[in-house]
Amino acid sequence: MDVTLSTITKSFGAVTAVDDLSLNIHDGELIALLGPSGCGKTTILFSIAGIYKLNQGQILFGGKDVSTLPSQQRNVGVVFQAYALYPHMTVFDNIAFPLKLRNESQSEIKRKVHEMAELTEIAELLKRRPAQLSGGQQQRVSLARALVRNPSVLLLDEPLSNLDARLRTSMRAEIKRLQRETGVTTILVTHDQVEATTMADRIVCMNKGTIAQVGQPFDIYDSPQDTFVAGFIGSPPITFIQGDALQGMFSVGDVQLPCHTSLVGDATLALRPEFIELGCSRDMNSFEGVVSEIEPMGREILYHLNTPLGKLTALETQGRPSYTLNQPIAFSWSNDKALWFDSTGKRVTA
Amino acid sequence: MSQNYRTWPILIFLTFMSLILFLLYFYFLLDTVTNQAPGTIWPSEFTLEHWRFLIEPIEGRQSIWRVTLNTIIFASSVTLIVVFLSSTAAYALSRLNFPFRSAFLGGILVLHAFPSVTLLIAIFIILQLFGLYDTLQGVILVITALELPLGIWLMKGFYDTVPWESEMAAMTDGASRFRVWWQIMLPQVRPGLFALGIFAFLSGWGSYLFPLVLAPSADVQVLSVYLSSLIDSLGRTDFSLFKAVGLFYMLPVVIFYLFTQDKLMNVFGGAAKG
Amino acid sequence: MRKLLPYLFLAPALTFVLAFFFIPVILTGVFSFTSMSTATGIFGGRYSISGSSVTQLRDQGFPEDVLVALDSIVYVANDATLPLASEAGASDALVTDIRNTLLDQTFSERRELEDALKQLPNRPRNTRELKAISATFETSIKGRDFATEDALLIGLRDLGLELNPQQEVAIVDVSYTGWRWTLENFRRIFRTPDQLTILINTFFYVFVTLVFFNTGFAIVLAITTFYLPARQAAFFRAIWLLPRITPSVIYVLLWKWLAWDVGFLNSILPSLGIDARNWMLDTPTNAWVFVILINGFIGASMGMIIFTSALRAIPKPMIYASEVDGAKFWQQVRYILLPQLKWPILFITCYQTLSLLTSFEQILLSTDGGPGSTTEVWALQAYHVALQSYSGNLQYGYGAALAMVLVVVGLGLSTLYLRAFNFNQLVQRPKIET
Repeated sequence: MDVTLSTITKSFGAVTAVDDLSLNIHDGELIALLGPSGCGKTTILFSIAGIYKLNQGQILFGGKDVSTLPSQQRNVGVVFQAYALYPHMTVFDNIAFPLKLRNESQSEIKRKVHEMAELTEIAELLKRRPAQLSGGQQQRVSLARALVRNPSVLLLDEPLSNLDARLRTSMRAEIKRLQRETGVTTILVTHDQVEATTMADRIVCMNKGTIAQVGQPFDIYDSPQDTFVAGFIGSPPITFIQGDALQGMFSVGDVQLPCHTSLVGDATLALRPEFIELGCSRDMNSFEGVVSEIEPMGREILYHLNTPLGKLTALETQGRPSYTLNQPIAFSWSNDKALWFDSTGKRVTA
Repeated sequence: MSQNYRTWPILIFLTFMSLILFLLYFYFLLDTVTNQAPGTIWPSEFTLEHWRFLIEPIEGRQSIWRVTLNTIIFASSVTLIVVFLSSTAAYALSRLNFPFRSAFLGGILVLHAFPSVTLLIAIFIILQLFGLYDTLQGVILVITALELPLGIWLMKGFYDTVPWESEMAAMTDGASRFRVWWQIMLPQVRPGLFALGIFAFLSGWGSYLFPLVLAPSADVQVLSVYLSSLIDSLGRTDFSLFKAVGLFYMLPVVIFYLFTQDKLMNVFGGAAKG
Repeated sequence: MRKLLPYLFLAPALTFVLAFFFIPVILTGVFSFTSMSTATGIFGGRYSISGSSVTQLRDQGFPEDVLVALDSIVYVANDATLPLASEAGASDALVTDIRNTLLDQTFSERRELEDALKQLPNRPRNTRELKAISATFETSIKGRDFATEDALLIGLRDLGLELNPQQEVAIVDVSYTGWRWTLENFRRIFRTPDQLTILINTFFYVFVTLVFFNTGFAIVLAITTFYLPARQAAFFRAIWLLPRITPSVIYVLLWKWLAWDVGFLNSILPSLGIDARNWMLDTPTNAWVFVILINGFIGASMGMIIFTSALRAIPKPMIYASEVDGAKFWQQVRYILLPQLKWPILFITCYQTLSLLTSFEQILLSTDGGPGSTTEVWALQAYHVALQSYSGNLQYGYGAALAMVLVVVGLGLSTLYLRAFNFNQLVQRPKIET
């Protein structure tokens, strides 16, 4: 089912959590709301669930306005951050609860619960209580409970944040499988970019209650529309170089670089660590720096460099360290990998 | 709270259920400064005559100030002793290792749940045996003892929340266990000391039955006993006077209540959790 | 020093607890097996022969002459009375005569003594002297106060009575005025028909107050304020905490103002055609209504606080989850909130049962058990019997026996609760082991 958020605003007292935000979510899509904590992403989720009432704007499910409906009548499935299973009920009763509240018949409830338990692979756990389950199992029960009612939309609130790293990877794939098999429109709230990029069809990058950028994962990574998105997406993070732009020249201290002529005044050059090529020089964009710190990260090696442009980070993506501490090092980057932002932080492209 | 349920029906229901209390306490305040014509419910005039007891003693009775002084001595002594004894005993029970520790703890907990009022008769006789009957000291000792299980249990709870690391650090820095208690632990349980202090003061200030039985005579009367004997002897004639005396008596309670309501809730809650 | 420290820290508090918890518990037990009362005093007793002692001795089959001697004034010449006779003017010769012939003889009539005196060789010279001397031999033991058993026995011997050891023991026993060991108190509890009424009163009071207020209304308060916005909730919780923090004398006074014949109810009800009366004491039903309201309004706040904190401990997402699962208000209360309150409700019910069972302050201040003794409960009865008797004789022993029943119930229940509510969880071992 399509979900449309139309100019929604939600504030708590003097604090505006979501500010005049609009978004279209397509039927069957898995969309991720990504942003740092406090950016309003959970507020949007709770507003869609009907737990919060909007100050302004509408929420439409398949073209029907549900903004004034209570949660009970919206038919949404929610997986909460800590799963919010009912500790006094068995797994079976937890999953059956939404059906029971709809007065479905015993046999129907039994059939649906078992079906869902098969799908989420917890059939053998139905008689247990939540306290006897591992984190991953609780997660599956929570998913089963959310999906058993055939929800119009499935809402996932930081669903993987309570799991350990290994389980997180497998649950990512698991949730994606369930979503694909059920075809339910899904909204995932997360602050973890890996979670967003690996799972989502589209990512909504949020900042301070508004949408910074919407797009497919690679889009957002390759062409962030402002400094916030550029800085938030990518690990290890992008390096920003502040400088002055005038008539196609960008100056940082004594160093000058060619830049786009539309840039005037304060400007920012952003370079992703993996696009800085070490030990090679070009006609343009070639400099020499000194290695100030080496961080081996297993497969990759991260170098911190002191350069005429300031501090930079660069990634060597294969092999073992080829440089040592305090060693002078030449580096450069390809012009098409450089990202330029104007004084307001907006992206400027050629 | 979520916004899926309407709250106004709840509001109306609660207001209705609380009507008697509104009525009782509203007229409690109103009657102390007004007069009503007999048989009517609305005040007809403003007056301060019900407060005359502050200046001249009610006929045949102690001055209110003497009684108030007794009550202050009584409640503050109880407070000081309870806070001191609870803070030492609770530290031992919370942090020190010694034989029968858990038996002591269990004993304190049983006493905490145990209804001390059943011991009234025996305590009455004990005070007579020791010659402490009808003295302020006697009733101070008794009320102190009765508040101790609660006090120890409450303070133990506060000590329990202080991280062990701070105590370990102080010990490795070379402080003796006593010094650790005095300089490291006590400052960290200060909120507990305050809470217990307020609680002990209020319960001393409000206590009636034990002072009534153990220290009834006029010289050592406290306000509760004074007020109840006033009501008994003047009968049903002068509710406004009783309420004025009552409001005077209740002032410290009201003050503490207004400023420490949240803490008080916690203490009442904690007091029962044992 | 390090070994002693825990005890140094504990000792002062333990002393208090010992003096005013432990010893009173023991002594309540001890006193409950005594006949202690105002009449017997609480210290050791004294010895005095009274009219009723004589009656008791007669019942035991004592010889009539002994009884007469104990009961009446007699005349006897002995080491105690002879010096008095010389002071009254008897010559040494007369004293010697008396010592030789009349020593330790008992005369029940003064005339008989005087006749005997007149027979003596050195008899008194005139009637006036005779009267003065005979008066000094007057002895009576009835009503005399002896501090010790020995003093009593000497007194009896001075009376000139020939008593065998069994008789002495019997007389000592009946003349003892102090308290003695007895099972009578407990017999009385089981045999008095009114005691059953009081027991029923007690159960009725505890049950109704508990179900309707201390647990029932407390749950209602906790759940309703749980749904209200924070400020409104705080306001209502504060209102319902008032009865608990108001000193009981004032709190009950406010209810008296509401109910008494010059009170508030009687200011409005007569205009509706209902006669003025003391609503608190006019009928047993009304008295119970007020007793239960007065105690229930205080009791509700404790449960309210405990239940509120239990409800607050429910993770918010769980509440939200039930709403998106489709729960209506009552369904959320029934399926989500109440199951979370299961243990707190059990705890409050146990705890408040005990406190209602033993507390009587508010009843004492409001109805004082009246009208008649229709609202008298067990704890209040113990108080009345031992500490507030209108007849002036406070029956400490009987009161202690009544209290002992409550002490035993109290100790039993509080120990039981301790086990039920998982005491071991509360006791963690100290992490510093030295």
